[in-house]
Amino acid sequence: MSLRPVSQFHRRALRATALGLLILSIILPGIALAQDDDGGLPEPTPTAQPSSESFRSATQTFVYTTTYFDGMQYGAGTVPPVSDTIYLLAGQENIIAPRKTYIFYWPLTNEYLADFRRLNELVEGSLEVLQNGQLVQTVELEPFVTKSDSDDPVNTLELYRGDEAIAAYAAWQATQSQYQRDLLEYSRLDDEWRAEMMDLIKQYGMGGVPDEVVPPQPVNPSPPTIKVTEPTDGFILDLAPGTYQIRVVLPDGSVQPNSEKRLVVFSARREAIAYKLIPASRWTVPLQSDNPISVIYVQPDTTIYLQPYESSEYNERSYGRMINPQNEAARADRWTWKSEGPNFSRTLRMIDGRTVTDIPLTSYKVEQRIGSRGYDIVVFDPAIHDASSFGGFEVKMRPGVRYTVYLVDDEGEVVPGSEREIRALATNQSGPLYAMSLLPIVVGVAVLVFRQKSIRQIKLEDISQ
Amino acid sequence: MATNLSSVVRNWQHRWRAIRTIEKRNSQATFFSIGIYITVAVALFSAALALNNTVRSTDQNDALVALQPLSFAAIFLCTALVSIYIALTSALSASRERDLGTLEVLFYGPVDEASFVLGKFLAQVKVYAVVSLIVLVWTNVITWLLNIAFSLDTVFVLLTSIFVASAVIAFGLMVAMIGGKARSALIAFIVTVLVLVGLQIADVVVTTAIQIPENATLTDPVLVIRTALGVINSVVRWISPYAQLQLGMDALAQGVVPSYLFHVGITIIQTVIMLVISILVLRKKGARG
Repeated sequence: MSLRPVSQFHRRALRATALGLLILSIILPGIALAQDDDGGLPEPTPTAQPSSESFRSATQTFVYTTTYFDGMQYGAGTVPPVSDTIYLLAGQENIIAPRKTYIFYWPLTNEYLADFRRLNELVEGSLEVLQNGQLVQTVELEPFVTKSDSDDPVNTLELYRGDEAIAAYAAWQATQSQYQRDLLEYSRLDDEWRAEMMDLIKQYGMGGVPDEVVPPQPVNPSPPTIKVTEPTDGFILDLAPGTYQIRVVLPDGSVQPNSEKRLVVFSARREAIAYKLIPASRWTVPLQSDNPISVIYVQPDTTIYLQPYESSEYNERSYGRMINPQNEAARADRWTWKSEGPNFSRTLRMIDGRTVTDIPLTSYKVEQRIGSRGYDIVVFDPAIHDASSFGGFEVKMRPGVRYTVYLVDDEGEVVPGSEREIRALATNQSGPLYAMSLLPIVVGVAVLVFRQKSIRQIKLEDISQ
Repeated sequence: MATNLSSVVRNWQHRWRAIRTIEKRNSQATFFSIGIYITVAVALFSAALALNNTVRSTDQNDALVALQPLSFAAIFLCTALVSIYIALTSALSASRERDLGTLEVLFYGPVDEASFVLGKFLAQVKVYAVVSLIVLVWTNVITWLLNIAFSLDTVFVLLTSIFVASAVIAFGLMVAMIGGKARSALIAFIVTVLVLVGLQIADVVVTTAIQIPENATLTDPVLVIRTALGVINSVVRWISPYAQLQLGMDALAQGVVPSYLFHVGITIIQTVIMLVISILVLRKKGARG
């Protein structure tokens, strides 16, 4: 009887809670919608026609564009207002530029994109770099270009700034103009040569023109391999590792809205030589050995080819967000190795017990077998082959071997971080492997038998006493 | 002052004798039962299965790049399975002694809460130390058999696994002391261990096996699960000895000795805390629970 009022109270409380939840479920989305209306970036809107909807909801805003050095080359990125941190590599010249543009949400790739064709306005001002609230550096806008040779873009990459940038671009333009003129001249000379040849053919007949009367054919000019980007203005930063705050100060002394961001400047945790590992049986599906502590296991009686690369290990989130500031998948607690161009060592030293073998860097050609499936990997011969398929150090594995390999530079010194252990894994030992697992049962049975014998012995001794 | 000190020393001498007696009785009980040998065999068989899978994968792909010594995964598996069995044995034995009233009888004698808990604890640590010797022999034979790279780190990982097993045993005893009846202790122990190990495995699977696109939003279900698991595991890693073993193995593989010692230290602290809690709970609840 005494429980009745309590259960009624419970019922009422439940009803009140349910009603409250119902009201909240109606009110909360309304509040959320109302909050969306007061400025800020457009929220993702699911739509059947994302392009038109997204463009309509584009908002004019301030963004930073980045020209970051990724360890090998320069890349470009846009930092929308939703990203509060910019990540850049330490000890490198990186550029960030303040711009006004339209930002819209692109549902197909789940990211905010900038519509620079609609608006691409440089914001005049200076960049203040602060650390722990103290002003570290004030950087002014200046023009910059990157210059590289397309034949070897990694090793020829250079950044020019200020007047040097303008001069480099002017020189490149001059080279381009000269090439255009040479091309026109070549075209004219080639026309003349063809006309002259036609006359000679008419005179001597087809195939009867003596070599000594054939005029020298004009040579097609080679296009310039040097590339220089168009000069653009930006803040060129070269900072030590650390966390900074940045903001753009306008000419009137005020701070540009949305320009205050965190700047994380990071460096590689480790540097080493990575190897691309090409098994002869599947040369198009290489493996990667980035970490110097990794061990390479190979099936016996196979051949592998090793291609060395310079490599650095970075924090996954820092590196990922440098490339794409909206990258949500990269984790701060993980590390990633990034290849930073080939290593040019020409010798791989292989130690097998007391035997030391120097393996030279060799080019190989993959030849498709005619009339049957498969291919052969042969040493590239310029006299026979038009181009090599790949280059690398050939390592032939025998059963049971263990090799230690490392690169040797031209001075005979070991290239740091290039050591690896290569082992021929015994792949036919499944039986003994499982049999070994039964070892504890054998031990257990032996112990129990011994125990039983001991107990029996004690009992016999007791009886005899 | 000197009298106090000598009485403390004398007390501990008596206690140590009681600890040794309980430890000997319990370890012998485990050694003279077939269960531990079957468990170790099952653990080694599972490790062999995992290792053979790696070998077969190398056979099919012609090559394999291994970041950690191949024996590490096998040792981890053995540690997980054997430590659970040993800790379970320890928890059940402690609960049963209370259920059957043996504990009360012991407390009338020279046994107190600390000597009972430490005796039970050391007995199973001793059993695991012997098991780890069997695992070491197995690892060395497998290393030779498969031509796997031998690493001194394997010995260090096995040593670490003893600390990890100690923490799991201490956890089993703590659950037994808190849980009371044998059945409750058993359920609480199994559920907790499954949750801890499950969270760790789930985190590894979601992080390594499932590729999350770069442009995934924070509302992407897999990313939500991964983030949630990441947050939970960032807490669990300080509680779970298995997580400490994994982190210690990673540190050894990377050659970061301070980090390795740090994780071993964490495991020892976990063990000490759980043993102290077990003793205090037993003291509070008494021999009858």
